[in-house]
Amino acid sequence: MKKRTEGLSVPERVSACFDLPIETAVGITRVTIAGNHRVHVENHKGIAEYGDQHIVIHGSRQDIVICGRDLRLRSMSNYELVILGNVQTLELKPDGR
Amino acid sequence: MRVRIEGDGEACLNLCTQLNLRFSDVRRLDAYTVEMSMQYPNYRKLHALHDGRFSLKIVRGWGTPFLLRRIKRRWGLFAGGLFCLVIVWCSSFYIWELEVSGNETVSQGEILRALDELGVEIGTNRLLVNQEYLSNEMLQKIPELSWFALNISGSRAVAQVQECEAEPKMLDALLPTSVYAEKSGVLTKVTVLNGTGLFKVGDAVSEGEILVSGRMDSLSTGARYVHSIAEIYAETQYDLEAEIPLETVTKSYTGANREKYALILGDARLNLCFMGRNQTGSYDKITTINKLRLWDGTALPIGLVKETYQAYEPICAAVDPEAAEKLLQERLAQQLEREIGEGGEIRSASFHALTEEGLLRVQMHAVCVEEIGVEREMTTKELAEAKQENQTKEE
Repeated sequence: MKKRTEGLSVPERVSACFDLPIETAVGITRVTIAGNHRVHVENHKGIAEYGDQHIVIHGSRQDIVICGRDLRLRSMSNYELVILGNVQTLELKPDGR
Repeated sequence: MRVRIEGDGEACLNLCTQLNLRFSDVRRLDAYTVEMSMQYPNYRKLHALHDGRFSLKIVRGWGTPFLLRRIKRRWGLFAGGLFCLVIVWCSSFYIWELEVSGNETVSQGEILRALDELGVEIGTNRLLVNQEYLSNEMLQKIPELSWFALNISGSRAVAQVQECEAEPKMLDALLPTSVYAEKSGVLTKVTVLNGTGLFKVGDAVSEGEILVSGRMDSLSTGARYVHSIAEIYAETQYDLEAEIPLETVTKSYTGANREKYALILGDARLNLCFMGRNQTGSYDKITTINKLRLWDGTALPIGLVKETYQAYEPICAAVDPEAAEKLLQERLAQQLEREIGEGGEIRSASFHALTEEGLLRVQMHAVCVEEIGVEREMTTKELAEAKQENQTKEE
């Protein structure tokens, strides 16, 4: 049987040891999607591609690919960004950097 | 402002976040062009720090810097704005609104006329108004005033006045007077404090009869004349009548409204509508004057007059007889209350309505109790007669 903490980073393992929510670990990218029209990304590492049909965002370990229609960046800061539009798919891809 | 990014748009967005420059409404126009909105200071920072991966271009700008840049060669606009400011500043030294407060018996027109004669009117320079002189002159011009002050705030002047209190009527105790009946009736209360009472309770008196004589006879000194004082109440009867036509003319608005505008510049009026000056037919005219004011309420000598003409056609309409009768009864009751005065009392009242020749007539019969005694100075004839009588007695 595989260990529960296998494949996790050290901060994630510490969180798992103390039964804390995994998102409290430092450096984890958190994606929140509300319905299919709003995506909130915290702790991002920048935008890789920007268009009205797909947006690629650098995460901590993966790239987040958002596809849909009429996508637009509502606001963006160093820590978080908000994307509005008609979201159809949300995919995690290995970091291309 | 709206900024167009040509080249690596994503790199520009990431640079903005690194520099903590706020932006919004990012839209991709084509594969190489992105547009976004940001403030001008942020654009300047971004423009100073951006590398060769993308180029920036202002597409559209709003706000003062862009407005000034657009009009910087138009000297006429600046000169016009400056001229307007100077005009507004200069106009604040003049009185453009004059009001009167505190007057009750003295009319507003009388006060304004007196002020006009002393040189204070619309358009007077407020720096030239001598308050002390004005106050003294106004009190001399209008003796009914006991206090006057002209409060000037910006271009608005308020003439505050206080009127003299009416002198109480002095009772001349030495003046011989009689009390006579003001109205006919049957006496219900006779209280004579001074003088000789000629009637008692239950007597019927007619209008003009002397109720209390100022002459008092004495065995030792003969006749003497006093100031009669008495409280005389009597039961009086009233027959009042009022009428109203059963058809009345009312206004039927046709909906054809016309509006005219005029500009007021100081005392001058400039009509902005030159067509159709002569309004024909029946119409109501409603005039609204909007004066231009500064943010602090200072009135400017500029105003816009709006005149609305509401056309109507006079039509005959029938009056509800019941409502008309009630209205007439109320009118008659009010008339009766005015006639009997404050101390009077209505004992009974009855109404009778009849319709004649398109008129509704209401008759009122009322029985009241009221004071009917009124003082009157004894005439020289009465005094001479009494004097002669005394002389005859002495002889």
